[in-house]
Amino acid sequence: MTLQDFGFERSRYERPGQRWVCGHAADGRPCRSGPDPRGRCSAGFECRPLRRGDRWQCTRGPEAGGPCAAGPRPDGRCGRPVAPCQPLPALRIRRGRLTFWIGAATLGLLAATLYGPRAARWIQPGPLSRAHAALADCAACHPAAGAWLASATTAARSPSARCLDCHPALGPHALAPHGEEPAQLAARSEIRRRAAGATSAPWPLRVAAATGLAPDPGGELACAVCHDEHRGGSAPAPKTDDLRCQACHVAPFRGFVTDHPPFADYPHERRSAIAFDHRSHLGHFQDEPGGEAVLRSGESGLELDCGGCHRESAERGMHVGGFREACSSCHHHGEQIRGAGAAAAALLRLPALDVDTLEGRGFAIGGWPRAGRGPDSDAPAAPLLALLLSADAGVAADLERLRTAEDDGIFLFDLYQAAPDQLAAASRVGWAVKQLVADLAADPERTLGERLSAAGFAGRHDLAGLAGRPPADTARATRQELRPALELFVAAEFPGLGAELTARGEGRSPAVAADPEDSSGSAGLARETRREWGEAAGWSLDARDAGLCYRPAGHADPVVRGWLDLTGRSYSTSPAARAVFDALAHPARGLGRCTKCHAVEEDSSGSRVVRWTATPLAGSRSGTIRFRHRPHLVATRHDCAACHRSTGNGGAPVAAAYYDDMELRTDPHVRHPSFRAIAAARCAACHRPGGAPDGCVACHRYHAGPPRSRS
Amino acid sequence: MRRETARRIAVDGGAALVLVLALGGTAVLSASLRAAERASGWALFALVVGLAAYHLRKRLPFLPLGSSATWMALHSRAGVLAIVVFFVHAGGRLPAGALERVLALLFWAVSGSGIVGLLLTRAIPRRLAARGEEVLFERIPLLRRRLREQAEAVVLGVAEASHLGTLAGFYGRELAPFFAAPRNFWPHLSGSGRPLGHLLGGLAAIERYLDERERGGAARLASLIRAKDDLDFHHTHQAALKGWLFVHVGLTWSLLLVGLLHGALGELFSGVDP
Repeated sequence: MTLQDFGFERSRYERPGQRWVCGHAADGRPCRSGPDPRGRCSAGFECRPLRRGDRWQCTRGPEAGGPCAAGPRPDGRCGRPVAPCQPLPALRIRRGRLTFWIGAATLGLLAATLYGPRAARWIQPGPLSRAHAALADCAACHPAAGAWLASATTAARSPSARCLDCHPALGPHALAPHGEEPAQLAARSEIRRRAAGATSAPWPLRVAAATGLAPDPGGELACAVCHDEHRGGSAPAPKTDDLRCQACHVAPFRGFVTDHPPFADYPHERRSAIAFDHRSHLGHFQDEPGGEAVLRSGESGLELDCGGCHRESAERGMHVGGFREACSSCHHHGEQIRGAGAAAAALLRLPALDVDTLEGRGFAIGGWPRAGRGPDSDAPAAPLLALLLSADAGVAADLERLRTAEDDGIFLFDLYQAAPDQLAAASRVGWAVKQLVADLAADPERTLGERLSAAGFAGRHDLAGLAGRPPADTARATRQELRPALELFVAAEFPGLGAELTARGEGRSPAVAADPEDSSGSAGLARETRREWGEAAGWSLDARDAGLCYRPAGHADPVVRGWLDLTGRSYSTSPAARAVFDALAHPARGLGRCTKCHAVEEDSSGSRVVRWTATPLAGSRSGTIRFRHRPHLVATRHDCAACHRSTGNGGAPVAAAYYDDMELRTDPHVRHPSFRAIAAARCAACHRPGGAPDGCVACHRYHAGPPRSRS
Repeated sequence: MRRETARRIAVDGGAALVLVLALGGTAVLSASLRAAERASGWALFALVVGLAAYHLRKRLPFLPLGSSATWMALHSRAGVLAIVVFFVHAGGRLPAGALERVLALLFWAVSGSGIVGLLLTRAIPRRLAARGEEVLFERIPLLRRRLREQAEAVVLGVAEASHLGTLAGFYGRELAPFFAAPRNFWPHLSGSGRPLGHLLGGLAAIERYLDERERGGAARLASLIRAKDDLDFHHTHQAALKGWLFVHVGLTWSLLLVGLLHGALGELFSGVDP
């Protein structure tokens, strides 16, 4: 069946491009004229009659049915009016309108979004990581937030500075590659570059180099180059891969097996914080069939094995047990720490003073302990006493003058040949010692605080710890405190100290004190008590009655630790502090012999630091290596010896890296480890294509820094 | 023919070259520790602007801007290229932010409608040529009215001649709605002939109750039903050909606006210098 019959007189001409269509078109009856270009109906009549002679003729076209039977009216008007309609927009117009309204609605919604109360929630590209979830204000990180439109024209767009406000641990060169000091990094980079030689870098890097897009090795990298925030998760995940590492590391790296340089001395680039010789302690090395001595964990039948000191935990990684946990079962406090270091025990020993010469030459000194009188005794002042005396600049000058005079045979304990000014200096030193003793006996902690501040030890100090006062919550005193010991000392050796100092303050000559040997009462009681206290920890009178000595209460004694930390920080700037540190830190004679196990390191400023804790353990010098024990323990079925192979019974002892002939060694890179270095080939057994991850970031982290706990 | 082949080679080769440059450039920028996302984002925005320019080209036919066929070929290749660049830009993951999700949704709606439209423009003309007469979309209402008038004339003629109302009843019940408007859009789009079979089956079912005159009228009605069904088939497919552009063009401007805002926010808040 044919639907259409096209022809000049049989069908009308369609114009799909017109903007408006007749309202009757949907019903299949569009008028002939159609709407005008502005969409208005132009309907009138079906034709416009034509007058021929005296008759009107219908002119309706053949495609509309031809002339109508009724014909025009007598007045010449068409007798078939067309019903008016409401023209409709053509399809194209309707599409345009829809597009316009969608665009307008989009603009409106965007405006409402940007300026609405929840704008930040809408425009942020995703949830913050849990590490930053507490940052509710966008402006905390984004300089553009708040006045974002205005800030489009400003240069302060990088939020890296805001990142560093909260992450100061990244150091002063945080935005430099690896956060390292640029000159240091440049020097090392040059070495690596030369070692790499002429290499064939991956093509993206060659293109980048050819087009000038390669990063400037000395330039800065914004945090956001690698860290994608607003992705949820625990922390902004770094976008790192082998190719991005090679933007600077020019040596081609296709995988660990083929391209990783051999390990230098991993993991022993630094000695550990504790001078621990596994060979001498464990003693359960057995020979492998191949003849190599290895450490057998848990096979020796001894109580000590790897797990005795090292414990792997999900939170803290490979935990190294502390003294109480790992050492105290054999190294008892009383035997090896409390009584150790007798030579340094007399922390507050008075200097021997030639009292008779002073008195004879008119420099009254008052009472002075019999055991501290020269020339029968030639003991110098204890370093700690000298340190506290040096807080007074005048006394420090007198001490320096007398030290210079030692070349002429004049000593505090022998002033027979001293000149009057030297005698006056010795007298002032003697009175300064007595004033210090009196002050300490009155209020030890306040005196320590004032003297340390005057001596230039800045910062806040744990005065109670330095004085040896037990914590307030200690139910039972574990050691004798300084104040009662000093009171006892003054009562025994300086019975008239208060009156003497008062008389001297008033310009009167002090009365000659009674000989302590002849005294009775309190002094006699003091001698009894002294004998009892001599066995206890803490402060007590020394055996020669010339001052106070200190006996550590046990491991981690706060007095010894406090003075080591305090004087170590000023080791390079204060001779008095250096003398105290050297006396306390001596591996054999130091009080408690802390440094027999705890490493002492000297930093670039000359300060000395005692490494009290076993973690962090050794890491790479650049601090970019990360290692997790847990997956490796699983892979080796908890056989530590699979990687850690003993050096055997030969070689230098571990302790030789910490002290040589009882002299401290402070370079942490000198080491005599108990275990052999781990070869890259051992790692390559698993870290290879198709096996464990073998990319850069499997073992390296970007931000250099102190080694983290090695789990 | 030779010219058409040369144009296709030029367009496909150019698109492949741009694709290689886009992917390679992203790899180079990423390896250089530069903001590859920024480059891929603005490249994507430029692509979408170029794709939208095709619409303007159709509105300015008098300007010597190349043939519409060339523009269409470029438009389809650039669309595929934009999808690849979008994957690179988004990292193949679903955005987590509200605005980014809206933007991704708009992109997929525009891209999806474009792909659907491309498939329709390739498939529908062949289907239209294979069935019925070739009719103008604007002429379909007129033809539908004619068919309805013819059907009504047949039914009235038979009813007057036979004085029986069986055929007229069937027409009023089943066929009058069918002839009144376009019917069976989805069955026609899916190629189903079930609605036509249902009507013809109904007509055949009442044939035993018809006399000789009415049977002649029923045969004429069956012919008109087939013609109307063919007309509906053309209406359906031509409506689909025109209708997908409502989604594709309508959402393009939203995509451009939201994309522009996304780019501006990225510039302000990315934290990476260019």
